[in-house]
Amino acid sequence: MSESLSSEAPQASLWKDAFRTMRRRPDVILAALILLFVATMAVFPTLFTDKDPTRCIGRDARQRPDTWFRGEHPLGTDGFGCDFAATIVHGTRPTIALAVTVIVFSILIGLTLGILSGYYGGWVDAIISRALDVFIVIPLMMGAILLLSLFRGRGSSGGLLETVGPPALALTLFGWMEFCRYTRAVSIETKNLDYVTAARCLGAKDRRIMFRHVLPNAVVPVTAVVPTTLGSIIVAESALAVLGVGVQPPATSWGVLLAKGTEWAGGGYIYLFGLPLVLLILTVFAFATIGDALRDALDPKLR
Amino acid sequence: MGRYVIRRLLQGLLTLFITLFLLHYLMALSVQIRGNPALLFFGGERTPDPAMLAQVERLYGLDDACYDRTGDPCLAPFVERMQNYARGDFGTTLTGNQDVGELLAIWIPNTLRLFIFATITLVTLSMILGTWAARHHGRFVDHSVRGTTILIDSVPVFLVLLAYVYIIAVPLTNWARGIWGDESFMGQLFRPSYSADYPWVTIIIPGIIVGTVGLATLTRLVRASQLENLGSDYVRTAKAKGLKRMRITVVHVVRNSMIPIVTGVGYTFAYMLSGAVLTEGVMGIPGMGRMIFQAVQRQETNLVIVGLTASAVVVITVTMIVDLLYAALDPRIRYE
Amino acid sequence: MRRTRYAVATGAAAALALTACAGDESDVDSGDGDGGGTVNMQIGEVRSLIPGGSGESEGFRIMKNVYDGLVYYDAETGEPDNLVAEEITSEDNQTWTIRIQEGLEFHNGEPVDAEAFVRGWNRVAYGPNALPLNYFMASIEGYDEMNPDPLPEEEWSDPDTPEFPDVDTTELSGLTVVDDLTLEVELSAPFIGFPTMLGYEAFFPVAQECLDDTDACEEQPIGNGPFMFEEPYNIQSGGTAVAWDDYQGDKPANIDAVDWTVYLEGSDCWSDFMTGSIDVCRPTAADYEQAQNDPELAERHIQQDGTSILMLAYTLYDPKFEDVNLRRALSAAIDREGVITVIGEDRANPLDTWVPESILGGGQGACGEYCEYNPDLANDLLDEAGGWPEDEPLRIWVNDAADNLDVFRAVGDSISQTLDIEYEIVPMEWTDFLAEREAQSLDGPFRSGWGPDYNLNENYLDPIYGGGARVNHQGYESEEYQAKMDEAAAADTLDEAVGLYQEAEQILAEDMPSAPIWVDQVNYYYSERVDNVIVHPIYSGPGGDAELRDIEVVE
Repeated sequence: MSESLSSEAPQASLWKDAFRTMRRRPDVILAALILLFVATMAVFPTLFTDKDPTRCIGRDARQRPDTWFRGEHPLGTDGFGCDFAATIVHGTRPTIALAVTVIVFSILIGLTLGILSGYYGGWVDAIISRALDVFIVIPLMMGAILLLSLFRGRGSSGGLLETVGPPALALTLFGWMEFCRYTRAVSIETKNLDYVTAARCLGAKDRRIMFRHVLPNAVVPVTAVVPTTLGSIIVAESALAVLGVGVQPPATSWGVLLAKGTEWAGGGYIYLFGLPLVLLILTVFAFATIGDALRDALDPKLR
Repeated sequence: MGRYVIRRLLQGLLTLFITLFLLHYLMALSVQIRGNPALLFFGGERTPDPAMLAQVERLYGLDDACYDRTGDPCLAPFVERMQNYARGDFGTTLTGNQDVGELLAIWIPNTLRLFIFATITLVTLSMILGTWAARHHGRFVDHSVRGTTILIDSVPVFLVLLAYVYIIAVPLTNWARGIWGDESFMGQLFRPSYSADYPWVTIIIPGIIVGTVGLATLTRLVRASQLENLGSDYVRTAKAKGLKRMRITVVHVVRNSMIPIVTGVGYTFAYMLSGAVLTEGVMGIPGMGRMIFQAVQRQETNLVIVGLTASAVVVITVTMIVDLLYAALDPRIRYE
Repeated sequence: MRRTRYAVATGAAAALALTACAGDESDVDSGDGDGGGTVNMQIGEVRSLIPGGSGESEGFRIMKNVYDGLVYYDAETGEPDNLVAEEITSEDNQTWTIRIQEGLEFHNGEPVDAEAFVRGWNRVAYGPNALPLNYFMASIEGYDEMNPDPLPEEEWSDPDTPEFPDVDTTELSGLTVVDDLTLEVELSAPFIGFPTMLGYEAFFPVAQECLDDTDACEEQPIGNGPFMFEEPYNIQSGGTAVAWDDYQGDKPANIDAVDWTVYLEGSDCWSDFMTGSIDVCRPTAADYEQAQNDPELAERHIQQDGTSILMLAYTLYDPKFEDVNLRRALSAAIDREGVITVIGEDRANPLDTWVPESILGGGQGACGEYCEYNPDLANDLLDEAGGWPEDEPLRIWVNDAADNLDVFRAVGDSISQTLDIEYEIVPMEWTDFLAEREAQSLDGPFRSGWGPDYNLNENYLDPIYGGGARVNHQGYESEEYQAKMDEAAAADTLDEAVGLYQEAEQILAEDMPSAPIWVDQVNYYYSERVDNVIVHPIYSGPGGDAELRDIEVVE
């Protein structure tokens, strides 16, 4: 995907190199398989279950999965008497959708502000740097909580957007700073390089320089942190859900499942807590592993 | 150097001011969107008398008309608030009418104690693991250290805490108390909840658990900077001089890799408060994170603003100290 | 799965065995032989320790032991027995004469006389003090002068903010000090239940020294009860109250001291109970299942009917809910047993009436078949009512605290499974919920919970459904109902009044302004260290409670 973004030959070979290095690492392959599995679950939930996760019978609540993968409820029922397997499978999409939304918008905001601030400097930089400081100073969780409490009571059993919208907005608003910082640093560095100066002398417009020369350089450090950040967004979502301000039940996400699971974990219903937890840890671990490998691959100094 | 410090200080103050305003605006929005927190004062399932409601509103400065217009930044109350803060008056809470300044004086030390243990754990673990991995660069140890730290980091810390409280703490405490007695250090150490009678001992375990947040990142930093140092000229010189491996590691490599660690810890500080929300909630520690969370829920405007500003002050100060330490640790860096 | 459960269970058993040893040890340390000892209690956040300032269960739990009221609610029946009062009499239920026992003092040596009560009551009744229990004084003559209506709208300086005339009156005109030990109370209307209110916090006596420095008194209350604080109580961390050596009253304590540890929202005492740090605790739903399977714990289990009830209240001001058959259909579609299964067995019992059985005059099953899960009946009733508007979800408004959301999700699931109506939960913060409910701007049924102020069925009827359509939250109004309530208030005897209130409840049942769901059930466990653990039938804290004047520490 990245080749298309970058026009310069050394860049392309960097990506190709990185890809080749990563392909040879068994941990990366394992991680990729895990992510593939999760992604399939998010896109085609009906491949995994034919039950309706909204059909819940109070009297059937918390039936342990004694039969395991067979019978009417292959993974038992949850605290509300809904089929647990269906709940987990259908909870994947909001979780992944939220993580992807947050990362896309964080990168967009971060890249734009970072380039503007690094390239122009002066008062633009001053304003953006102050904004950067302010958002760094308010801890992510606190900011998200503060913002999300504004959305309480807006009802949320509706579509995907309504479900993940508020937490996605909050996490984006307090999550773009890392990308901005990297991009800003790269932009400051790049704009004084010889070939950029040359391009400017040749009469290239600011916009062209930013897109053709500065942006491609920023892509490397930004891409390197994307997988890890995806993982941490999933964790942040679950933390918000446990605090009761994230995705709002009856809509589900892994965070909501974990939040509900913790309530019953002490009473011998460990599967309610354990299954979503394993899924979450595996996914986050997969993202982190790929992120780690990617950073190594893109930073030849450490190889 | 002096001019740099002054500039940083001014920038810090500006950031602080903007933060204050942003918080004020968010809280004003909250009153505008969510409705009147003065109702909270009456707590129960009752309809308060309009007369009394208005009195409470006046008492807490919520009677300004701007609170009825959604989107209004409520500048007049903001100015008033700033004046009060400048006088050292941080206001009172809606429930219980307690002085916010006094409350913070109770909570901040609790959170700081948590951070102290967390930081010690984080630094010690990442130094040991990072050094170990760097020395065995590219071999099995290296890979397994990195894999393990990533795995540890992948488990959300509050879930570890919950598992600890629900499953491990009770039998462990009873076992320890059976041997050493109720009041002993060990008898208190594993307690499933914080106790005000043992403010240090009962905060150690949650501190250690919080300390695993960011372990992979910091270990990575340590490893990277040590690899760089191991390959540097002065280490090669030291080797050539025939110095012992241990001595090289400790004196040259470890000391020089302090720089990224100092930065790493500095930035972790800002994230720790986020971690504190859940940790303090699970362990029943009356600290900043948990109280601010509760305050947001209850629309305790004064508490939220003062609390988050206090944490902002800490973060700004820490970042500044980190930058200055940078110069102290690395002779190549000089601030103009 | 099995093995893990087993491991946890044996862990718990071992925990108990060890607690026992630890308990013995600490008793040897403090042992002075004759009873005594310290009881460790959990408590939530206390709002105030001066009478009238708390209005929640946790403040009352402390105050009822630090102060002695005119009456004390019997720990078995919940009925008021005279404590500080010698006798309370009235000929017309409007003018009440209270005679106070002689020779009683506050912890600081001030006498407990008629004046001590008057000063406390006046403080509560004075509008500008804005105390949570202010409304308790509303039945006393002179209350209106101390709580005036807002000024006419055109006199406000800001059109959105009501302004009030200054209040000059600082004393209730209905209170007359006849002599040191006699107090005469004039009510604005006859009320047979007045004496039953007098054991509540709002009516406790207050020492002059306390009013002179309320800040100090908040931290270290000056009471007249068997317990006193030697050191300030801390709202965040708790405190220790010791038995007062000079206590002269009729309900002394058996223990030396009680130590309160604060558990704030989100944390509970169970794991500390299991390690022996807390003596009485209510397990969470998950822990409860575990505890039940433990034979040793079962011996130290207290299970009794509670008094807090939960209802799904209808918004009668919304035309959708005009038809009583629709209201009945929704009620009959709620599988109350199923809902209770969701939140945990034994946490509550299904409720088929508006006043629970543990309350004087309660438990008459007024709701009948409409409060039993019956899918056929529910569907028939819905058809009769003309069905539910298509494509419109049933919006259930819930304040988001504790497990309210879970409860109403289960309620909604049951309704939607039975009647095929889509539902939506609208979670709200408490304050928002209060405001919207108040403004009657909800567009669907809402959560309604109630706990008693005093032991009389009237307390479950008038405060919730009285006042007319504009005042109560359901928008309920019925002349017949109101007439019956007024008749009951003016009854000659308490028995007669209770009977008339029951009739009013029947009228309520016909109109069904809300669907009763359950009445909670108390499930507490206590440690081996303590004995004679009595849980008050009317007032008990949510996290674990016991009558501290009765509880004993066993050696």
